[in-house]
Amino acid sequence: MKKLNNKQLKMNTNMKNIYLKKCVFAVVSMLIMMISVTLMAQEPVIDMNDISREEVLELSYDQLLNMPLEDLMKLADIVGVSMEELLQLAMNKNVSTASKKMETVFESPLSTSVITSDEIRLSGATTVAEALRLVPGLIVREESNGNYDIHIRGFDNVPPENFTHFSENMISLIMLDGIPVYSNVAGGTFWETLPVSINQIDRIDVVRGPSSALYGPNAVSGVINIVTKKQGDDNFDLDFSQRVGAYNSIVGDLYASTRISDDLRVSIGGRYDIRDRMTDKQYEFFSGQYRTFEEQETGIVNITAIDTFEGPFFQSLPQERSKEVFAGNINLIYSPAYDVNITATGSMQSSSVNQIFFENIATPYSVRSSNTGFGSINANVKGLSAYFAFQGGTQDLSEGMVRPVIEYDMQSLNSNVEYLIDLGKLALLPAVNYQSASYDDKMYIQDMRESKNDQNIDGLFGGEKTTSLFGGSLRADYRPIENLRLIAAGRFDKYDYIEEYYPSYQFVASYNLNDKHLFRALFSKANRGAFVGDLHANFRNPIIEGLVVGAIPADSYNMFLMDPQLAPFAPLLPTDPPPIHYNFTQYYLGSNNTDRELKLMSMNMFEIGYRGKISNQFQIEIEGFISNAKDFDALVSYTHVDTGYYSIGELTGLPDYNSIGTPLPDTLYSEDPLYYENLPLTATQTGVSATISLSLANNILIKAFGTYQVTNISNHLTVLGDTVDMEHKNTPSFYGGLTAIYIPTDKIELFLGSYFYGAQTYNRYYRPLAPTPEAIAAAKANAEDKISSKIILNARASYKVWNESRIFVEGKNLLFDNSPEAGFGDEIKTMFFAGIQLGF
Amino acid sequence: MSASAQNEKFKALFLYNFTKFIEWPESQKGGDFVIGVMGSSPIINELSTIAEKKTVGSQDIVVKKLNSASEANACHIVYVPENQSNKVNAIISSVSSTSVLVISDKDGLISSGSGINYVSVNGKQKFEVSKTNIESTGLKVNSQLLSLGISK
Repeated sequence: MKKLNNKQLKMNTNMKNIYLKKCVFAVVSMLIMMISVTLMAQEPVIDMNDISREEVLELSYDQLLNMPLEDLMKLADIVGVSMEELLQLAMNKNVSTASKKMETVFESPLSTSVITSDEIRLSGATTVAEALRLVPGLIVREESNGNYDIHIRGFDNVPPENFTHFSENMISLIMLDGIPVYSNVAGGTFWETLPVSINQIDRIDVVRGPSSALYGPNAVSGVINIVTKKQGDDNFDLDFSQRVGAYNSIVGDLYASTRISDDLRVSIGGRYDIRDRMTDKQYEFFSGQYRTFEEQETGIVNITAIDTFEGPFFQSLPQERSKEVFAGNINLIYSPAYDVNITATGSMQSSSVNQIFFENIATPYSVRSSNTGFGSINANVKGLSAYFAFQGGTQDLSEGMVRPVIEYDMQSLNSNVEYLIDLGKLALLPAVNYQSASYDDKMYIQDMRESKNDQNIDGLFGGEKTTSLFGGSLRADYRPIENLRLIAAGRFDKYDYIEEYYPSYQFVASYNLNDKHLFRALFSKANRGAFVGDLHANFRNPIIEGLVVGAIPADSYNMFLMDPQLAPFAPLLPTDPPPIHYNFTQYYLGSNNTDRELKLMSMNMFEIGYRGKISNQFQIEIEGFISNAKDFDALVSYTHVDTGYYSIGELTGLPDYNSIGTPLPDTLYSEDPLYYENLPLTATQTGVSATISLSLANNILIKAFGTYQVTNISNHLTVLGDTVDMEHKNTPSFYGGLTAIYIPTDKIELFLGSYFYGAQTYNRYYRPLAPTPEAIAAAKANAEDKISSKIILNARASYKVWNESRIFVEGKNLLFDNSPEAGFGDEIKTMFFAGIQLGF
Repeated sequence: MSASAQNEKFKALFLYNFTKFIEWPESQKGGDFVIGVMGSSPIINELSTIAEKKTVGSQDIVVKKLNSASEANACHIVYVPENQSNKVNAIISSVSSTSVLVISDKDGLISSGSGINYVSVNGKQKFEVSKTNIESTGLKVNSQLLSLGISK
């Protein structure tokens, strides 16, 4: 120590001399040339015993290079490394999704956020969806315990006043290690089917805004890419966590990885996630109330269910369960050189969830079950990058649904090849992409016909149906000068069954000032994919004679049998006009079955953004955007039960038919044709998102983010065929989060975070009993749900027992706000978990 | 500069300073002083800055990104970033016939045969140093370095 002090004194004296000389020089300069003064760098006196972290960070390379190693070691101690890990959680994280090459989030020319494995652990996220509540610009709604729907920026439930599944996100590209994982039925993502453990996620990249030019279809509102761990330690990595929580929730996650030889690693991941619902009630369309299953059993719902639904409404799951997920994967990673990496992956999952998606006549909730397998080969060899992926399995979007059968076998294939041509200032990335999907419900329709002894039962697709696309793209990334970056990317897709070639593009300019301020602007266009449901829905369901249609109060879409048991409901039935319709037939028809050319929904966006590293403690990011979307398609209804006995032919010019193909006179029939058809509706969203990251002391990181937005809809087609302009109320005008991470010692990690959103109004499909303003208003009100604003406060504390092994407790929704987060959704209550993590 | 880069900067500064305590054989004192970095790492930028400003004795410093372990034997120092740690064994065997200081960056790797290993101790950047490992490659090490680092 003494020796060090002597050395310091000597150094201090030297530095003081230098300082004095510089000061004198500066004063002289000031007299001679006033302007140059401000540019003069003044070197600080270095007192090794009393130097702050900030002062160390201000030291120049030349100063540091002239110091002896032991002084440097002392300065390094002051800077520390824990700080680095914390600030890594802000803007210095690596991201590859935005530009298809590794860069930091700061440099990314797009609206990009990254969540790292550390953040996932520190926040206590138990699912990918929950982790996404840490990201600006995402609207994450929990629909039942552990089950979520996620929208990027908004456009949720656009077009409004439609069936429940249209309220779920169908316009984002979700990928696992760069390979699309959305469903080809309609483009939605079934988050429970991701076959990965939360512990094996290296990071999640999120890009907000249309990005199809780089990634292909459906990146309309943005991209979420879940990237798994590829690198590993020398010998054996293990990360197993087990959580036990309220509502009989048990969540286990495993990741293990080991080196087999110098160049070959193997890793496995596994997950189970079992939870009960947080309530014994479920929203019932008919009564317009939340009711228990017992109440429903004696009510209208199960009686109507005889015909269209195999009650009870929970099939593979016990009635109280919200989720049962089992998944496993194995990966072989061959990396003989730093720029050669070939990964082969195989995975399987089996899942059942009770969540909002494919509504039935009783509730918006249904049990969705999936048993799927996935295999892929992903190769990165120098500039060449390619993948080939296959997925297959069975899925039932609504267990117990009889009309239509909505269970099917499915297969999908995805392949992509791209090559990076690096020409110095210019980098080119040409790519070709092929995707196909096949869905087949034949077998399940036959089974249901046999079991119900009813040949009129149909399925959603009515046989094997396919969709495919071939796409090509080119991206040019040009840096004329070091700080300026210009990017142009274009892509064309040719879809099966759709005549047009679909272009998507992206033009970006970014300017990086001093590595501290990044300004960027971009214009882009992207389109939704062509999905099997929209193209091929082929469901014609003659419901047997003697039905009453439109016996409200909740909604005219409810149907029930004329039955003595229903006598108590008779007073509820409208008498003028009488609601009795015989031989009621429902149709869901995809565009390909009605010879209507389907335009794919597309979005244009203009965006400007700024990122600033204001200081080592404070970073800020702002993005402003205006997006315009058009060519939405939806199941469009053509009849109103109150206005007579229309036939499909009268309204559409198509042949009249029933399910067995016999032409029938109009007057005897009431029909309910619903076509996938483009709507005149357009939607414009204007918004701004901001994020600030603040690191206090060495071990506290505070992050605040929020989005304010307004969405306006033009040409919305009402039930009466009028078009109206309106403000869209389903996207909250304000949403965001505030999180704090505090690491007081090596052993203790603390997290306190909130996610919040403003009030929303959800509007479901409705049809009035009569075309009068009163009837319309009543029906509309019955199909409307006002969702109140909510602050979801989460906390976590963990204690490191040994190595990477910890014990922890987590609380979620700690303000005890039980309000539902989705339209007609379950109450979402406070949740507690305790758990252990075993790792080394 | 980001905090992450700060840490890389100190690792680079340490690395440069190690050259003052290590003596390479006469046969390697001519030409450029080559520092190899396995794979991509932000430390390359830091080392390149140092290379512009400093020399090792009379030798100019050249920083080289290594694509495979077999390229290591043409270097004076090879730094193996943490995420390339699985290549340490391959690098050590490929440099067995030349005098190369191998610097690794992960807990426990000093026992794999690296001369110096960066470790984080209670949130602070430290390094382990092994006299045996360094001298087995024909390098000489000043005992002051052994006392500054965590001697193994």
